[in-house]
Amino acid sequence: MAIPVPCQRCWALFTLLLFCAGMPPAIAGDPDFTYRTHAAEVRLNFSALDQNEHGVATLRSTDFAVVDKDVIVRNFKSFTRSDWTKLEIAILIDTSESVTPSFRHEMSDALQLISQTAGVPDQNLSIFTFEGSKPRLLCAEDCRVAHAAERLPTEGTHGLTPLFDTVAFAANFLAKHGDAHAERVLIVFSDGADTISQSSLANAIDAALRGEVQLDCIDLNQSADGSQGATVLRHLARATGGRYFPPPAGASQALNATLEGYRASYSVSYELPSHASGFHTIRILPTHNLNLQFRSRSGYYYPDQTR
Amino acid sequence: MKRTMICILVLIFPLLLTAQTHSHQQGTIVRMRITDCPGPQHGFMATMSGTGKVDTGDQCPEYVLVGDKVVYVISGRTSDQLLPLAETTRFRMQKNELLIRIDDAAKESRFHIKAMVLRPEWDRNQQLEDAEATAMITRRLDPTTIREQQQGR
Repeated sequence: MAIPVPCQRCWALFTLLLFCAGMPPAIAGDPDFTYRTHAAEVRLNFSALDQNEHGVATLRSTDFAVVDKDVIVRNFKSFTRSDWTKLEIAILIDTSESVTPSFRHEMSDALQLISQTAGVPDQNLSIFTFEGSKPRLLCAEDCRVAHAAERLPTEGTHGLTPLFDTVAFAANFLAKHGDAHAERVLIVFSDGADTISQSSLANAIDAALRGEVQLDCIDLNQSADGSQGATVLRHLARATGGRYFPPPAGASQALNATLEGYRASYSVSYELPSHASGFHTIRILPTHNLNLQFRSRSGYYYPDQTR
Repeated sequence: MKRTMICILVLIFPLLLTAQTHSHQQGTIVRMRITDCPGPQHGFMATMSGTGKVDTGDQCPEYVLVGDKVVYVISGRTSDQLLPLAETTRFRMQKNELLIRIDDAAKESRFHIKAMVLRPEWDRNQQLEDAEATAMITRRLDPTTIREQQQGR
């Protein structure tokens, strides 16, 4: 049987319900929240080079396969040419004493690079160095007009070379900067000698991989033979899908080669082949022409789905 | 005599060609990893005495090649013995080795056969693996399991 409710009480009940509806749904004593992430697609930027290390501008999706954690992927969800104008470029200039003999030369090369990056907008360009034991952002978004060379420290760093810290710092900066799907490259002018970083080489590589930053390393040593710095630079480049340029390649030549590679770069996406959490190694290999070489990051982290 | 020889050759040639075509099989490479190179083979006695496998320290490519009836796990003998990862790979067997001609190469590349599994068995294992992976994902996203995990912390 229905019980008639007086109209005055009805308004009071309505007000109470409205008040309750506005309250946050927090439960006392249960501060833990569950975040569920679900990724079903892998997106990968890479560049293709021929046997003469020239960029290949006419690559088709049937020309390559991706090896993702041992599984060969040939069916892609998307395959497009990367937009050159979205490329995010950062330059890291090692200003330590160990590279002083080539310091001025290196500066002029960096400036030459800046003038050569026609087509890349000003806001996609930044320069990093270090001062004392700390990484330093020399300029960002206005590097062409800011006369970056004038801002470079004129004195050495008194034996302090926080190279790994600066690589991690620049990688984190690039990861947060610009378009989410943009290709990011950090061009490192250094002799590869680190003396004071809090980060290790592994930390620096990890930061670059997480930020999807490719490291192109230009060796400023007098000779690469048996040099520990050369080994470090080679490792940085290889792990992140970048290129290593041994001395005396000539910085401007190396930079030209680097930029040409990015003009023939591509973006591919495919369904995640394995949901195993952890690091997924990636290799891109040709399907027909074994002279083709592909450069991409060495892998990606697939997180545990529940955090 | 010459005419007879030519006639015989003309008759035999298509048969030889057919035999050669039949000896070739087709398959698809579905997995690839880099692993230790297979050491040089030292015969039965060395294998039995445990000294057969020599660790050279080099890394070689290893492939899973899915054929019509058999699935092969093959390994290159050198680090640069890379195969093009085309949809279809043509191969043939010879003396416990798998021979693959890479595009227009003058001779075929020889691969060491590490394991062979019958195709139905391999398909069944793949289905089980897929089912297990799906179950793991579902279990991870299941609210009850998540609550249990949180209580266990």
